[in-house]
Amino acid sequence: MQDEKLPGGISFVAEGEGIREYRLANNLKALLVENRVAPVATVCVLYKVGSRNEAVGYTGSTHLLEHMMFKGTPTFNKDRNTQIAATLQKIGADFNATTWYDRTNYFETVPSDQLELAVRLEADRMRNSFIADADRQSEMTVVRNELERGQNEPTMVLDEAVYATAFREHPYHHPTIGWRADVENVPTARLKAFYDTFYHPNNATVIVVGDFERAATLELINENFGAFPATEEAIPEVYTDEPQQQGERRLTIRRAGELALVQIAFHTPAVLGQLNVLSNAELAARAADPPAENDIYPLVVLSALLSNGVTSRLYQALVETELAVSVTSNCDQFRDPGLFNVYATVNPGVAPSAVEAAILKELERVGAEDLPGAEVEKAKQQIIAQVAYNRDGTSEIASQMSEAEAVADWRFYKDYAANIARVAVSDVQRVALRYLTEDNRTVGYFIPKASAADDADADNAGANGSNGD
Amino acid sequence: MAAGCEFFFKFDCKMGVKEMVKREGAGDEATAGGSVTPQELGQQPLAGHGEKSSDAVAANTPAGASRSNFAARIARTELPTGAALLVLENRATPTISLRGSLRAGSYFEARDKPGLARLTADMLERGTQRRTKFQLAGDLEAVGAQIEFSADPFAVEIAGRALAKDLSLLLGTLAEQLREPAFPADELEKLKQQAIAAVQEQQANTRVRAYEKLSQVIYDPANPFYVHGGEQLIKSLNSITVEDVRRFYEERYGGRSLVLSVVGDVQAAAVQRLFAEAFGDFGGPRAGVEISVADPEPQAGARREIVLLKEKANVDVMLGTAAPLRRDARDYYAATLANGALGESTLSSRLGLQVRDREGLTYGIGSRFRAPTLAAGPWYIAVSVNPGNVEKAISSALAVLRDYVTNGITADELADEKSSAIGSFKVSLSTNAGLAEALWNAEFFNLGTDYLDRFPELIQAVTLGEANAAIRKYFRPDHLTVIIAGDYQSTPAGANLSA
Repeated sequence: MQDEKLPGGISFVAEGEGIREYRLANNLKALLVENRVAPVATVCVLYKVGSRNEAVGYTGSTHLLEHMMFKGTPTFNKDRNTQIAATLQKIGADFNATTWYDRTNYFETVPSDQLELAVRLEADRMRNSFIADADRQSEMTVVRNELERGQNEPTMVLDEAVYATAFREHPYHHPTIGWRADVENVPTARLKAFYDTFYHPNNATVIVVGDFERAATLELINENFGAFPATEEAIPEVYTDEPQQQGERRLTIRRAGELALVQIAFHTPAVLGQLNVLSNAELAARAADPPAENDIYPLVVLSALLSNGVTSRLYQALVETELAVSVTSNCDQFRDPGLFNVYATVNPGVAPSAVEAAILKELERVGAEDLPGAEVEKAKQQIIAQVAYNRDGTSEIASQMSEAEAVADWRFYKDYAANIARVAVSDVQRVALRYLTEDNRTVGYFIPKASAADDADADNAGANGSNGD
Repeated sequence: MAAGCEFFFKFDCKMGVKEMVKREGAGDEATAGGSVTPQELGQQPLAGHGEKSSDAVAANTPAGASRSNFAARIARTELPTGAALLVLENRATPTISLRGSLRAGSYFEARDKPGLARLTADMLERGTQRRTKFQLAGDLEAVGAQIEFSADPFAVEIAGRALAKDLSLLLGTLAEQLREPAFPADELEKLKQQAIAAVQEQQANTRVRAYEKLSQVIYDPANPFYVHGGEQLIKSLNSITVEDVRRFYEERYGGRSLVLSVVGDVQAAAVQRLFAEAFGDFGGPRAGVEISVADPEPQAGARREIVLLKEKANVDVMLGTAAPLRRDARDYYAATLANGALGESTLSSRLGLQVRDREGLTYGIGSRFRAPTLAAGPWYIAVSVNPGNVEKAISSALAVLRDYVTNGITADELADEKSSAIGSFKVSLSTNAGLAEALWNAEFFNLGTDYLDRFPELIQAVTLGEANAAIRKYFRPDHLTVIIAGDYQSTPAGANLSA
């Protein structure tokens, strides 16, 4: 398998469970997965630039730039009747692009006889996008409306405020969509500079999953992406660590709405278990040889046993008791240290403080009392089944690989279920005790203004640092 | 949470595949396109990155001998009761997807009991004569399996998934829930309070409120697409008793209208045997399953309503009408292609090109036939917009629509819409979940097991003349109801409507 004949300049790097990693001469990483279940293929290009690479004045730029990447190139544009979206739409592609803290990705699932078009288009916009000022002006208001839609949702408003409070220094402080004034005023030149800094083959991974012939596809990738040189300068690094939180932080948002919300967040490690920001080289080294102990996996199991399904602890303690309408939890799996969050929608007539107390009691019980092995086993089985569901289709596989590449590398994806399976009861208890502490937490309330009874309760919470608007 | 941003929000589903998915209630645009991230759904830990080490990611076995012919691979059986099963073996992953329905949706509930069909469907998960809700959930959760019920205007929809090894657990549990529900009183009380809270929460959602109002303006309360207002719905939910639920179940649930599709790493014969064991003597229902709706005449003249919701940064606008298009209409494909060129894509359809791409007025604009099903649902244009741009967006959308109606679709546009529909249909059939949905859809609408193979021909057969006739028939810019939901103060009535 590994002495295959490769197009000039491409080298084979590694292989695992059908995922094959190659490197072009310009240092572009290519990951190929042949999957002939259906006559389709997914192409995904991941750029290692996200809102973590932004600062005040140009928050939201990564995302705005992502929008500009649909505005055209000399080859694909409206004047030539080859607008990027129309070109993809007319072949029936399922396509989109997304921006998040750690990455930006562009992807399309196409009938497999259209794979060449997809690769050609993605390579073209890596370096040839217009990024014109007139386009920026009309697209800014599109993005601003996207921001406004988000501001309509109480859950997003509260989440944004909690992240901005829990992260004081690290750029996870600001939302990926950006602060409104930055979105409105960022100059086109700044976006162009962003493009010219980060959109290069040596800062990207191309993922192809589906029904294709490997040698021909490598040739196709080489022809189209191989033309661009690697940057001479190194890609700029992020180095702003979040200092350890020393004491609980609280915030309240009061706004028109119907139901109150409670969100409780705790700082956690990054996805490879580290507690600080790593350079690109350090991250690559750690991903290739991950530490034996990584608290992320027990935290993910902890989240599942707390809130996944009717039998979960928080469902039983909050929904069954009719304190909350719904409750969920989530452990961030980010490139840099993130948060473990619990979210609850408060039942009408219940004080948010009662919901907060019930959540904290359940979190405390995990470490303080006996934790039945069957409960941990159930949570692990749920995650492992989900991993299998997430392989239903080329698009899903490419998406999962892309997320893994953004925060570690594809091995994180490959070994995920095995790492979850290894989690012991004692690991879950250990991480609960270590991270779910008072000094490490941020508590946020969303209080619907109409509800006067709840206002009194929120005042007792001693709000500070509210900044959701 | 802490969700990322997407380039665009997928406004509509592709035709023929997801017509019936999650159409229940109002405002399902929030999830309709499948573009909401798992994080937004609060499922990130489970939808997280991962890969089961014992199974390769790669799969090199084609799903069948001939990938181009589905009909030969679909095993369809029907029980003497009338219940139908469709199975497609697909060994891509060690999982199974299940879709299904019974005709026991809100159409069948008494007019003064809105919400009864939905509560009855939700109660199926809340305890059987053999197991409590906690036990039922525990047995499924222990192996990561899921079964969900929801009610739409006509059907109770069933969605399930499991690892392939748990097929009999999945089907056995489904049968127990459908056939032996216990309807415990305490669970009904809890469910009612949860449902009421959910209704209250939705009352603050601009998109939900816009659709709710649109449906109320264009439909009579007796129409299955009429959405009851929050207050009325809450009152009704409060009044529903265990006896109401039990009676509705006994009259409306039965094997006659049961449709189930199962796709995944299974043996068709094994699924058929389990299905016959589980549902062979599931008779009934006592009452009929026939559906007879008089589709309303489309409105004459323009109307406008504002739903005021304070402190909302974004306004949701809908311009719609009752559209006399059913799933079995002769011009169904012509109408959906005609709509496609107008508003399928917020990026490249006519509305999106003008209102989003050129004018930058919105993050999302599109048009859709919401539910061409056993009865005709509404057609509307929906656009989200800053409060200051409401009138501009409405004028701009109407201008696009007028031009489209006056000048018609071009041959190039129609050709592009056809290749788009055919290509995306192919893409949608690349997953177990997509296949299960398509099989169920074909059976529910009586399209035949060869529908998946015939779809490209059906699309190709549409002529330019048929598409233009559909445009003139369904899109009537001077006879629309405009709903504006958000923090928006009234302007002189009818402003811009006749511009």
